[in-house]
Amino acid sequence: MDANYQMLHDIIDFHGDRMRNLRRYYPFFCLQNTAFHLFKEGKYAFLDIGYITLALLRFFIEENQFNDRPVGYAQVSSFLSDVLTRDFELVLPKEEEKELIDYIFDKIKNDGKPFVMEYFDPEKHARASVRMKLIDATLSGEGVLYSITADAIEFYLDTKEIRDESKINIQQVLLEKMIHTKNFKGGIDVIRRINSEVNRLRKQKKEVLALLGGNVFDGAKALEEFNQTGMRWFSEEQKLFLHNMELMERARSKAEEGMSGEGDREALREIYQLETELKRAMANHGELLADCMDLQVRADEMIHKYKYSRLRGAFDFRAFVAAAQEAQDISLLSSFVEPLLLPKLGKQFSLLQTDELLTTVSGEGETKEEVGEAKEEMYRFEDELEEERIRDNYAAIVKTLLDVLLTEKRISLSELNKRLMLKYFDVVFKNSDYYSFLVHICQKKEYDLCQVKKKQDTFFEGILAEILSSEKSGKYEHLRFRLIMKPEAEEIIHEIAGVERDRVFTTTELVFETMGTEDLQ
Amino acid sequence: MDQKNLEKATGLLAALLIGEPVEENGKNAGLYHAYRESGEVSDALELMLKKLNLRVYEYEYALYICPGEHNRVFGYSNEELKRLMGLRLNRELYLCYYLIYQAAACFYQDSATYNYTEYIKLEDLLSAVERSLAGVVSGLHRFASETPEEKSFTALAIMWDELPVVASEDTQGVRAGRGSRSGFVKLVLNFLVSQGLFTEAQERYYPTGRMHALIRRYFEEEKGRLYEIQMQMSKGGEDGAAY
Repeated sequence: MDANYQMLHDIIDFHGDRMRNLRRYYPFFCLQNTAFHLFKEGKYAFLDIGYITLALLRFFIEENQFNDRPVGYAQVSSFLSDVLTRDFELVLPKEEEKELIDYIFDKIKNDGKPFVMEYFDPEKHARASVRMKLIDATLSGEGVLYSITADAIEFYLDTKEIRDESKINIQQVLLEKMIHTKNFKGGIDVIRRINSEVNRLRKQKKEVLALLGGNVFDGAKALEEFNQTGMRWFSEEQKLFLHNMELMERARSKAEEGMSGEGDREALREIYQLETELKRAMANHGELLADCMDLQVRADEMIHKYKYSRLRGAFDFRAFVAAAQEAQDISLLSSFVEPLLLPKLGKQFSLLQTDELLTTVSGEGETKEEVGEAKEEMYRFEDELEEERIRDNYAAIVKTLLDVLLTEKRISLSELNKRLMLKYFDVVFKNSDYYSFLVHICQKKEYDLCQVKKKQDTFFEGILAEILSSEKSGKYEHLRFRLIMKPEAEEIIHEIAGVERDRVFTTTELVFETMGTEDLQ
Repeated sequence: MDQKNLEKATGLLAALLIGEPVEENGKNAGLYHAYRESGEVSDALELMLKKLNLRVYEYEYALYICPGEHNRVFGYSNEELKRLMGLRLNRELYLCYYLIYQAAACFYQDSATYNYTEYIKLEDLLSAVERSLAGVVSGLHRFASETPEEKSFTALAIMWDELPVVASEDTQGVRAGRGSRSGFVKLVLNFLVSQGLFTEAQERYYPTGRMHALIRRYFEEEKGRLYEIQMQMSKGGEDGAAY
């Protein structure tokens, strides 16, 4: 019965632990199964995704852990490209290669999702699941950066070594044995593994700090775990390091004493190399120790600060969220979010808007804006318009005058006025152009229209020339006339409608007289 | 009550409801000064707002209003919020709640401690959320695989854990969406900008006066009530310890 109980205890109680350990291998076998059969109709089925995965993990360990460099898509792509050409002799056009690499990388990081392994939990009699990611991604200013997860590092190391509470110790013991058996080359590998383990612990320390920053309770738990698994072994590890260093020195002095052949020289070189590696490892380990001391101090500080802030009067958001988390009800966060929002203003349809049915005129459908062939339009300025008006008015008056002079020898201004009045009524005298016409025409005493056509001296002559050219019959062309100012100014009163009788318009009396050629000077 | 003061109080109410800024300077400076200088005006405004279950807060020479708790008229229901933010599932909304909380927590740990962060970037919020959820995510495998309750933190952590960081490798710049972590963060930041809580300049998000006002004043004033909720939650947590 007892033996049976022990066995059942092993089977049931430890099943969860075993599955959690097994989960590290799950992504690898998932990848092995799904591989390339569905991609491009199995064209690349000969590629071994398992090999590529392990290679990529090693690449990430090299970059992330040893060189402490972030890895972007470009680095991954060039590494995978090298693997494909070197190991599978696959040379593809750029586009196709990129497609293949994208596919492989997406598979390995499972499109950013974790690999989920389900199993039966005999303790709870229910299905449980464990999750595991190989590659994690973070977004930084330079773009997406990828890093290997702590689980994936463990998986990679597990494939070759046995994991125990302190891997560093095991490695040290191994190293000791190697030094004893003078396998110095193997010793270097061992030290490199020690280094990677130290790096893993440093990464774990960072995670603990991040947790503490987010949630003090979770962080405190993680810290305790870290103390148990990591820091507990430090003193022993330190001792072993010193011990190994001693061994190394002894081995070196022995080798130096009895050095004779080529083989010894090789061995001595390996010892030196091993010694430098070991020194580096010790320095790394020392840094880890310092980091962990720092972690302890900072954790104490954070926990202290948290305790203090809980006692203060202000409303503590973190405590509120932590309580919601404990109650497993995230919807309670709405109490936090709701007051931050703007008041909701619901707009409703107003019946009065139906009035628009009557007031809005709309054509059938939307009218298209017509874009015809654009003609360049002459823009006319106001002064141009004015000049045109003046020209028209002058032409009307001048034509009246010239028509008279064609038939009569002379005409006085008062007579001309009468004719103008007959033609255009009294508005002509209200027009300012009439008066400016008089001023302009008086600028010269004589006018020879034949000459005017060829050369114009004044603005008025310019207008005369235009009239002559527009008159197709050419009847005015040989007309010559002069202006005679009467010495005695006569008052000419015009009756203009709407103007009181007591107001008078006066002009100097003028006589326009035609001349023969003999009169010309 | 003076007719003029009543007019000013209603003017203030209208301006605040429409969403116009009521500040020391600017279009509504007159109304703001009336609020500051006349007890009658401020009393009348507060009375009206109280009846509408709205709160008014003054911060750095400006007034801000927000709906009070469970305000059916001016507050949003879950459905309305989902529509507003372009979400489909409740758990997506809860994730957004959490992201909004984290965005505020980047500046305030509690209602009194402003940590003088000037602005945050999308990446900052993303990593803040990753950090805060790291504990829950790492503990995920301890939970049974039966579907966790929609509003539990476990469901939130699973959802977050299963989202890729960006939707597609080749896309330049992050676009708001529900397909990736950064998409969600961008969606929430856009929403916060539209709600006047942040302003954006060159992909940096600066908290506005409204944000400071609400975080400092609202939560200071309401802390008693919120503590009660918190206590109930803690009790609920203990009752539901078997979960």
